[in-house]
Amino acid sequence: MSFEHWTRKYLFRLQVGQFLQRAADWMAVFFLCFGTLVLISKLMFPMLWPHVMWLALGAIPVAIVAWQVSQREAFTMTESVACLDKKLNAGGLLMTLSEAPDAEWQAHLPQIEARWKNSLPHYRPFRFAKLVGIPLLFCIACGFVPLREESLLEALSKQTVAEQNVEELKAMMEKLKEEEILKDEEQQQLEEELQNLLAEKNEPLTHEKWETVDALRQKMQLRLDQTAMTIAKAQNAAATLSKSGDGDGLTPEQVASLQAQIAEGLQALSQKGAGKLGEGKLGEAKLGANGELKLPSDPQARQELLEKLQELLEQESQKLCELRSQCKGGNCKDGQCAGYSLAEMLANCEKPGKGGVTRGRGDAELNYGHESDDQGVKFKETILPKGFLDDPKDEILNITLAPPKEEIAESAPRGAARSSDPSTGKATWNRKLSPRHRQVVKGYFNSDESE
Amino acid sequence: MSDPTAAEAPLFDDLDPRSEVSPGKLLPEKDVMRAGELIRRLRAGLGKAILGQDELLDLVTICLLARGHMLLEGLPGLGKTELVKSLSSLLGLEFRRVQFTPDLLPSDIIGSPILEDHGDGHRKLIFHRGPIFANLVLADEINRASPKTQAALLEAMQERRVTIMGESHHLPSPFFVLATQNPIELEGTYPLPEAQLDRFMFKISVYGVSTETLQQIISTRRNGAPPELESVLSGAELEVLFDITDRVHLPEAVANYIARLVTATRPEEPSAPDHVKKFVKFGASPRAAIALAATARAAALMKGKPNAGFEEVQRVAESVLGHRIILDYSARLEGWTPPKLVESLIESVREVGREIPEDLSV
Repeated sequence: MSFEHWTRKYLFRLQVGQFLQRAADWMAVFFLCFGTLVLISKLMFPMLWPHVMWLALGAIPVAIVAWQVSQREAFTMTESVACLDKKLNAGGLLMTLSEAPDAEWQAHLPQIEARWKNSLPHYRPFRFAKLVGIPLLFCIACGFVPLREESLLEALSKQTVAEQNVEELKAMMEKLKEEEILKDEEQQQLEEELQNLLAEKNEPLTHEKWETVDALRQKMQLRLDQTAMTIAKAQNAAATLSKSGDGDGLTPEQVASLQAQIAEGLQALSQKGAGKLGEGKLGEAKLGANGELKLPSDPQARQELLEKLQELLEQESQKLCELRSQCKGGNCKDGQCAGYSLAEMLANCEKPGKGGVTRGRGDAELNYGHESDDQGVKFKETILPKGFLDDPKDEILNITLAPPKEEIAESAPRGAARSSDPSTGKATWNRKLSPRHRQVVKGYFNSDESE
Repeated sequence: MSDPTAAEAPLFDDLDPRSEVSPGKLLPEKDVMRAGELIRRLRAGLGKAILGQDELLDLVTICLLARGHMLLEGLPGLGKTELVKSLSSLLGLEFRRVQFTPDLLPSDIIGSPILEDHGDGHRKLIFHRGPIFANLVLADEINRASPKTQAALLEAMQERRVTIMGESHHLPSPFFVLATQNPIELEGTYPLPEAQLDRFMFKISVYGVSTETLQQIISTRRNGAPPELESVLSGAELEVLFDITDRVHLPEAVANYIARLVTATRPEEPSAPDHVKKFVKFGASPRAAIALAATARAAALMKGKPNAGFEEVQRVAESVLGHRIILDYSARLEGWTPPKLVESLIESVREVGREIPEDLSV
């Protein structure tokens, strides 16, 4: 093999050595930066974490740039030959022959291939490993750092509690306006209060404001619940009337009561507009001047009308249910909303903990806010929202064809305040008074006599 | 066994000494061999005259081949003058000796115009050549003459001519000045100025010889009389040797090494080592680089090589650079001498300008 072969080989190895030297510097910096980015993304911006991994591909351009830079600083052929000459102890003859080839003098160069081979530099990338190894280990270690649940960015971009609540209220208001559930004056009043809150949404949330927000929400939900309940009652009444045919099994008072419930539901629907009653055969069902429902006298037509009414009311009830669900944060599962049926709604109404004058509602949420100013105070004390239940009206909630079934456990769950077994409402009157209370009760009822 | 110093037939009948150096072509091996034979003859003759000074004799031969002037420094009685006289005998060149004394005048060296009467009433200034008009001039104890007289040699050594009354007179070729001097610390000496020192290609320090050599001298030399030497090289052969020396290839990397080595002697250069910046007052001139290249070529030819290498440069570096580096006073306090500094330079300046990457093992 000619000496040119070995000089080229020597030069190539020098170039690789130069590349390793340059790449070690650049890759060390790259891996340090990459590891730092991984660490930052994991601890501060978790949502960026999987995307940060793509930056690992940056190692390829870094290597390419390192190669190019090493080529710019590369050994020249003269330098390479000089190094090889020195290693071979050729006394400058190799340098000379590379500049002025001469076959006669070439014979004076070493002829044993092994000697040339041994003169080539050997790859010993200890420096490369030393420089790149530590940053690489740093990168790997960063990869094992657990992902932080909430990123700083997310926390920063998140709205304050006040803003969130006001935005929720605004959205709820829009939906109620779309469905025309609110009365004009009621809507105007709510909008004014909402505007005030919107103007102050960037200010710290005080407990007064919190109460206002909650009161508004409750008002809107109450109105929605009332409308839904009215329509559900009407739907139920229409179903009962439809089942009874000509009113068999029902007293005239009960029929009138059922018709009144349907009329009330239809009024609620007419408030929502859309003129649904004027469509198809429903046009035959008319409301009198005093709000009384007038049904066709023909039994078959009446039956059909009631079925249509039932269907319409069911549709409306379904819509309202969805709306209620949205207003309550979309808690419906599999399309079935809690409190859809009348029974459920009634049960909900009767559930304890709806709140009252002296206590907050039982279902009031515990909010873990971010606005606690006091050091060490984990939870912010909030005044529980006021209950919005109106005074109980003396009204017939439901009329059934058969006596209601008593499900003691469900209708009246055992409460801590009751000393007796769980029972239906009747049991309330049969409750035994403790001896120490008898005198008080007796004294109360006999007070007029004593006076 | 034939006497190596005996005159032999010319070896270069087929070589024209005036042929131009052809770049990119190496010396033929037979020419190098023949040149080596001539050099060996000369070297053997010198070895016969001067005993036990092999390194000194090699350096003298190298300087001669490089056509450089030489300054020998050493205490009296070490054989400096004898060496120069032996050289002149072996080369068969015209030899003159000038003993420098404090009252020596420049005209005593160069020559002077003398008014001559032509007999017809006309008188004319005729230039009478001084002892410098010879091939080999021995300036013995050069530092005993005044600076004015020393300066008379400046033009002669560099331009190889002298100018008297506006007229230039060329010196014979080849022309060498071989000067000897005693160490400057001795009384009655005038140190040579830097400009004149720079004109000497080599400054070689001559040291005493070993006991064995001394015994040999005592045994073989009656009353110190040197052996009779015959000429071993003709003028034409010497010219051919000069030509061959010029044609010795100097690789680019070696030229680069010489340049970096000379640059490193300058304290104002950023790449100069710290001790140079600290102790050197003036560094070597470009003339030093030229001298290094020429003497490296001659050293390579002596070794029978067609090219100069790093080793040759390092071999002659001390003799070429030593007297051209002017040290600061602080260097003396720290114990630095020019040879020591050159040695440290050789150690600190890399032969190849670049370092092998650390990830490679050579």
